[in-house]
Amino acid sequence: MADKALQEPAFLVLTSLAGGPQHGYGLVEDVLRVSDRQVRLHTGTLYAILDRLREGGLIEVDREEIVESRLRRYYRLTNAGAERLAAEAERMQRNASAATSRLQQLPPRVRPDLRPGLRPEGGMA
Amino acid sequence: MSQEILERRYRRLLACYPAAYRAAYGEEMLAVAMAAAGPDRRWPDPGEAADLILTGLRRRLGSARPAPLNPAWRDAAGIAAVIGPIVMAAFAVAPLPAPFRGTGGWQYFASASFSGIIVAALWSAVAVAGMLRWRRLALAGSCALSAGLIYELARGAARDPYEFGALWWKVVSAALITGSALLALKSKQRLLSWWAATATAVIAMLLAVLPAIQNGQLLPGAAGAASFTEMNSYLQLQTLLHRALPAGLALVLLVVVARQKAGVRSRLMVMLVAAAATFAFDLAAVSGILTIEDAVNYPPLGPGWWQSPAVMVAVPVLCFAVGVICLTPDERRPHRRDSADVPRGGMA
Repeated sequence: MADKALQEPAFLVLTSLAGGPQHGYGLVEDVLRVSDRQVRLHTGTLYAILDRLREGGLIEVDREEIVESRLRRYYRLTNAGAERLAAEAERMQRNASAATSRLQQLPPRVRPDLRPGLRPEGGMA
Repeated sequence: MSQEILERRYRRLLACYPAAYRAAYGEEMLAVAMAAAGPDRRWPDPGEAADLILTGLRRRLGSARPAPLNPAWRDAAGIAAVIGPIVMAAFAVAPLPAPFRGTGGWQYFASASFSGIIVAALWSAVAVAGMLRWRRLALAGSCALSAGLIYELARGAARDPYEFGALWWKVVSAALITGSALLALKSKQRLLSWWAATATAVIAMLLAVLPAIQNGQLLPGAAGAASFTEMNSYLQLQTLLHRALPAGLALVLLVVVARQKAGVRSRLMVMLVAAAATFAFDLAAVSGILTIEDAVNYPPLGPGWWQSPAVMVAVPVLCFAVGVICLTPDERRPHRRDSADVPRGGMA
């Protein structure tokens, strides 16, 4: 698991748990928020990701509660999970910088307008 | 009330998951699905339902996946994908050497044909491709030759049962070779040593040209003998070659097999025994059918129920299955996964 790049939903779940322990539905909501409403996790997909992340030792169960007679299990990031998320974020940042820097080199007529935050060094005003 | 109906429907969808997974995550998943659905909903959201069905079935299929194949099978397949084509090349020219009761020796019943020699050359090319580890080429070649044999079998079986018996062992061997070539795609095994390859190739070549010698197509042979004594010596030589060459080929192959590591050797034996048993069985069945006309002097072996194509088909399957069962359980599945289906720390 450590060698393969994380897929976006798994990355977003780890990102969400970096903010603190979350239960299943809390994760669905938080991922929606973090991804700017671009990623909505369905239940089956969410638990496939949680199961994989648990097997990889990146997350663990924090606690369990019964709310309105329904089970709520909270998950938290492990140290390995935090390291993995940091490495993944760094890798994505590197790739994004490479992409924006190449885009800057395109001829002006085909170059897209880059938002100020995406401009590479010199354009970060 | 609508919540109860919705919950029941979600529970039905969760039945797509294996029981162990449901025991670990089922209640939690139900809570999430119900929370996502909101109040007053009676039917699950279609996207949510499709996702539960797909991920559930994937989980079931994943848990039903067989244990990874023992690498020794790949290594054995790598060897079989080389020695198999050599044997096939040796017997490409004649359909089946059968004990001919009149002479008391082994005799081919077909003369060397041009197409037979081409097929022998093609099988040799497959063997060379296997030796050089051009595995895709070896696979493509054995697929094409197997397809040709199946076509020939379908045509021949319609004509008479002798054709079926004479060709069936070849189809079984070709299928084993093709399967081996497929398995060997990922084998790291160093193949036959050069001495073994050369010895088998020489014997195979001699076997391939033997019918041509026998029928006077390559050398004058017995047919062109000037005297009875000369003809007799030719016949004696032919009988000797008929006995010595297959025995020599078998000996070299057995040495090759014996020199492999234990796990590879036992798997090679399973494949070889399946092919050899089919060959021997077909030979007995076919020779029985052939001797019907000589029933006065040589009582025929049949045809009996055991000479039917159905039994011939069953022989290799049974032999292979028994061979695999005879491998020790540890050898069969050393890489058996732990029950990956049950999530760790799961709560019932």
